[in-house]
Amino acid sequence: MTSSPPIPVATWLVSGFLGAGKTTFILDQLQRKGAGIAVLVNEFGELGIDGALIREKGGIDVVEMPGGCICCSQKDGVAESIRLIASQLKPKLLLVEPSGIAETSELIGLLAAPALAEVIRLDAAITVVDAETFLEYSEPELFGTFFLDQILHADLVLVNKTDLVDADQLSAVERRIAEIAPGAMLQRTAFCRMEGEPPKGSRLPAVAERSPLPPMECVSVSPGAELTEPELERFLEWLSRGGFGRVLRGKGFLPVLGQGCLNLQVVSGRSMLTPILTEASPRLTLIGYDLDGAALRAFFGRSA
Amino acid sequence: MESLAVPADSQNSLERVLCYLQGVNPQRIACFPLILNHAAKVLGVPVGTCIRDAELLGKAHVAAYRRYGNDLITFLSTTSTLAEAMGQKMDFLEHDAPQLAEPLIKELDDIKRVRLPDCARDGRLPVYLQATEYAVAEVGSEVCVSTLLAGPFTTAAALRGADVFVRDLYKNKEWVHELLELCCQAGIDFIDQILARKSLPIIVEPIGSGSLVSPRTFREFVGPYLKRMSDHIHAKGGGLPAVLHICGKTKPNWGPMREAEWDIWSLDGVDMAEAREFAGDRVCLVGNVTPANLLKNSPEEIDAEARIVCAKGMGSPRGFILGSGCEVPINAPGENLDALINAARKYGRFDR
Repeated sequence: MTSSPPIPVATWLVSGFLGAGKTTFILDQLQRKGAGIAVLVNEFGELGIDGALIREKGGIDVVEMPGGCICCSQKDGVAESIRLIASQLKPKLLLVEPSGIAETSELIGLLAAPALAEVIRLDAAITVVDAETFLEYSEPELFGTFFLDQILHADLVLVNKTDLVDADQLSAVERRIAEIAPGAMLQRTAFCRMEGEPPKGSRLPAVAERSPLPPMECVSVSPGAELTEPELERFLEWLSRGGFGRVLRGKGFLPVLGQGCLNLQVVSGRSMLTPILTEASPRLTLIGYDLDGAALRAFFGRSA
Repeated sequence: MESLAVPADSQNSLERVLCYLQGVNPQRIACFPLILNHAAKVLGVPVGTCIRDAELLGKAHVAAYRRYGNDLITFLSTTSTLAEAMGQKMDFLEHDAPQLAEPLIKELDDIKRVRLPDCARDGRLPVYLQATEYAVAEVGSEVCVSTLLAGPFTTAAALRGADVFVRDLYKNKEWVHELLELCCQAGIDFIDQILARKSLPIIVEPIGSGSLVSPRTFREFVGPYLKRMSDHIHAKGGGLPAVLHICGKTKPNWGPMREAEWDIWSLDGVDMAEAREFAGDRVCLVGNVTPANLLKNSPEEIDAEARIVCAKGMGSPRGFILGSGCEVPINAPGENLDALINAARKYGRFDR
């Protein structure tokens, strides 16, 4: 007689930058759901549990991920930890909390990989953002691609700390998230208390069937000569038609003949140009998918 | 089955690598799998013991070279080694690389706790250096020996905790520069000790990947310190190239990386054909078979992947070296490393 295959463990990936509220979220879930939850954390520190590889605290098992580096070679250790949790702890739910600088797409690639298909079932990728700091942190070129990647690949974005911002700022945060990830499901939270359960891959196809998105890219150029008006129009038209790729965000200073440098902001495919009063060095940065850096550099006639 | 017979080598590793420095084609391309903690497995000792014992560490890397015939010996157990020598505590594991314990710098004022290391005494720097001496004496006449250290940015992130450090880049710019200054000086001191032992210093800067820092941030916080290191190697290295490894997704930062003037780039999660186009005649490229595949794939699959990488990298004007994108996993089967190096023999030939 053969034994039936083990049922894959329901798993939530909980991403978010430092201070957004990931740990608060996990502690809240632990309190609500009680025993049978396992947590795979990047480090014990924030949960207040010390040392050792596996600890049990009030029926909650916490396993530390090896490393904590973003480096590729650490992934094997994560998969190994997950297998250990599934086989030895057999939890009803596994919460995975990576480092605050981890790319959600990388983790989804790992958790939804065929090698773990019989071990876990990734039900939701949840990203927690801090409504207080989100607008400044999501500016192009402030951080690397990880910050926007966490938004872009989430099934559910928890806009946390709503009690600390006014209605205008909250709306601006939600608009910005919608620009980055059109169609992303949002929920406002205070103290990261999520209402109900997260959707199971409702924004994208079922997690197991997801095809990986291409990697998000960032391209910068330093425009050389001043653009004439027709050249500027041609550039904006080419940009809006996707000639340089699928641009999510863009920002820079374009030198325009007779007008000095103009401040360019690209949001959701719309370009806005405004004069600037101070001196600025010509520069342009685009963030998005399938960006054609060579075409961009060719347009401006010099490399970055 | 692998698709071609494996031709014999007519050069030894050192002769092969010297061809790159002389600007001539070797018989076939070199192969640099980043064998780090995996070397302990070749010697049959626990990683945690091996990396704290100079004699074992030296013997492990010489044993790995003799087993595989890799064209570069690479001494490194973790990118936090320099931080460790500067006061950062580590947790040592029996069968894995050491991990960072609590960050040394919890508050900004804790920067006072960071010390410039004495390479003869602090942390495991003496272990690295003595192991290097052993390997140079043992096999230095036939293979290039290198000793790796983290760049200033990665060392600073280890001392502070990477998450907090990334936020510091925005919140505490001047303080970050103060810390980077210390890390840069520590690195340059260690480079001098490596050069004194006739080993090649290689800088690894994984926290400078495009996932974590934008080109603007790279130019402000990563590039200037890397430039000082490459300048130092060029000035003091007696003609040795400046070699930089950044794993992960580096493409967004290739522009500022080029400004830091490194001769050889070891790359990971990028398209080697795009890298070749960007590198032009300024940079020699190393890479980039997927490290995790060396653990889980078959030798045939490694051969197929390496063949594609070679097709993309070959013809790079300053040269191409086949390698792993990042550390060879500790438990990677030896047959997969054989397949990788054999791929260099099969698909990277210049003698026909």
